[in-house]
Amino acid sequence: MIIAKGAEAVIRLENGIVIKERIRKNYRIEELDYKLRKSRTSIEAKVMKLCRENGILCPNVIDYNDFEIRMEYIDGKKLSDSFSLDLMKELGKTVAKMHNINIIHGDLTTSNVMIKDNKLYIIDFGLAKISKKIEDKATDIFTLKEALKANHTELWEKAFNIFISEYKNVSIEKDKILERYYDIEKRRRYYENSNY
Amino acid sequence: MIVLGIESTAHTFGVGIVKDGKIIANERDTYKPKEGIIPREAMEHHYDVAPSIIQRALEKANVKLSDIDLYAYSQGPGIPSCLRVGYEISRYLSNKSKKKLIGVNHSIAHLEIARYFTGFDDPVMLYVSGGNTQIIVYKEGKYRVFGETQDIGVGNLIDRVGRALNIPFPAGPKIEELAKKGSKYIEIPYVIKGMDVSFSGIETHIKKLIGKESAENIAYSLQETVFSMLIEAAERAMAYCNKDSLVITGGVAANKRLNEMGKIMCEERNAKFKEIPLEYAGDNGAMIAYTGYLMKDYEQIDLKPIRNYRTDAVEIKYRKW
Repeated sequence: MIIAKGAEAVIRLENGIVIKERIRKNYRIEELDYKLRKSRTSIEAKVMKLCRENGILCPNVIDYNDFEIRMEYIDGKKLSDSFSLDLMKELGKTVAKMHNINIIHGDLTTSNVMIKDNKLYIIDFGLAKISKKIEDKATDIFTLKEALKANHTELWEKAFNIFISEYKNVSIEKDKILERYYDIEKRRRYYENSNY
Repeated sequence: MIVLGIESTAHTFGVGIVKDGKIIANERDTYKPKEGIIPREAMEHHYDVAPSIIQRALEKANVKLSDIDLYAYSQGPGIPSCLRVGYEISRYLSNKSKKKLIGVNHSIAHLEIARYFTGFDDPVMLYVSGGNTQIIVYKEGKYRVFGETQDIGVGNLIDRVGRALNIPFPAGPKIEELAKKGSKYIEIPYVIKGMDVSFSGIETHIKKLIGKESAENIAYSLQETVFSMLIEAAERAMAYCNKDSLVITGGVAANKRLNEMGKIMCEERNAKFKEIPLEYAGDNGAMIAYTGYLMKDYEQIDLKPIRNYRTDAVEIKYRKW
């Protein structure tokens, strides 16, 4: 049974196991498409294993091949569907823990976070990577902020502030990362509060 | 109601006339620098051509200046000295005739004219030009930017690579022609971050390839990489926001390969895709006049140009949902 169809993958649930398959994108030339799908699948599986080994909750990877990952099914709700400010604190802690071990999620949004038994599970590591770069960690935070802003138009600012204050408590490089985060804001062509 | 709209945010000085929501004239002239844009030269170009372009638009539309009921101008984002031209001319015309002046957000105008031509109600818009690269979606009363470039616009990247290959500005058409003859894919950084893209690393990487690889293969690899990134980001926005149509607009929308990729992506996810006429993909006055018409009831206090005018700064009151 297909349970989700994202931009790059089809996610099926079979016998209680989730199978994420990266499908061929015909708009891309085959060479580029093959390379992207293969490397993203392998990085995704490795990053998820690394998360589990370090006490960061995400689905348990059973096995994987070139374009497919088989993983544990998380029977919960998406954070975007049952959004609450309290959970943003937990998310701040989780993302800081990921960054502390150089895991970059690459696509942090409230629909890539699941809630099960009041615990947060990070899902969809499709754009994840392992990187020590301050820029990459700051970009992760920036991506989350943009997603909050776009999807939770009323509460985003509060939610983001709660996220940041807990992130600061846990992150080991908080000053550098947050400083860079503000740089990224300014680098964009039309940032807020910039008047003529 | 007859609306005259003026576009002057960057290279193009354009005048469009819209009658009761239908386009009846769209005239323009584009400043073509040898290299990058020189703001003062662009401004002088716009002042030079303004009278004749306005005259031509009026003749095409078969109306007189005294028939105009409303003026609109492109308020930003754009280059300050260029924005100034549209502002001063439209303010003068509206003051003289005691008609209302509307300030239009340039990016929103691109989106509205795309909706006008495609008939799509609620598309995801990929807006790609020299200075702009944005993925825009309508949500809760505003056009919101879901993804954008974290550094330079895609058109700007193509022009910079073009300059390094001795291709005159604008480099897009020549790069497209060269790319058709390319066959070897050279690996180039593929940088997508959520729904954002980044091009500056690609520029550095490509400049190192010049001399080692043929211009054809460089152009081919550049196009395949950056357009794949853009279409992937657009598809992510469609999946994320649950939208079933795509429009591509801005100067780079003239590229056939980019449109082909958009079409294939949409077909594969059962979504709709339509190209918009080339004349209305690049900067033009008609989109400003048309959006001015949609905004005719707006009461705006500050009409001065806004260099960094964000798409989500405008409340969209004319849409029904």
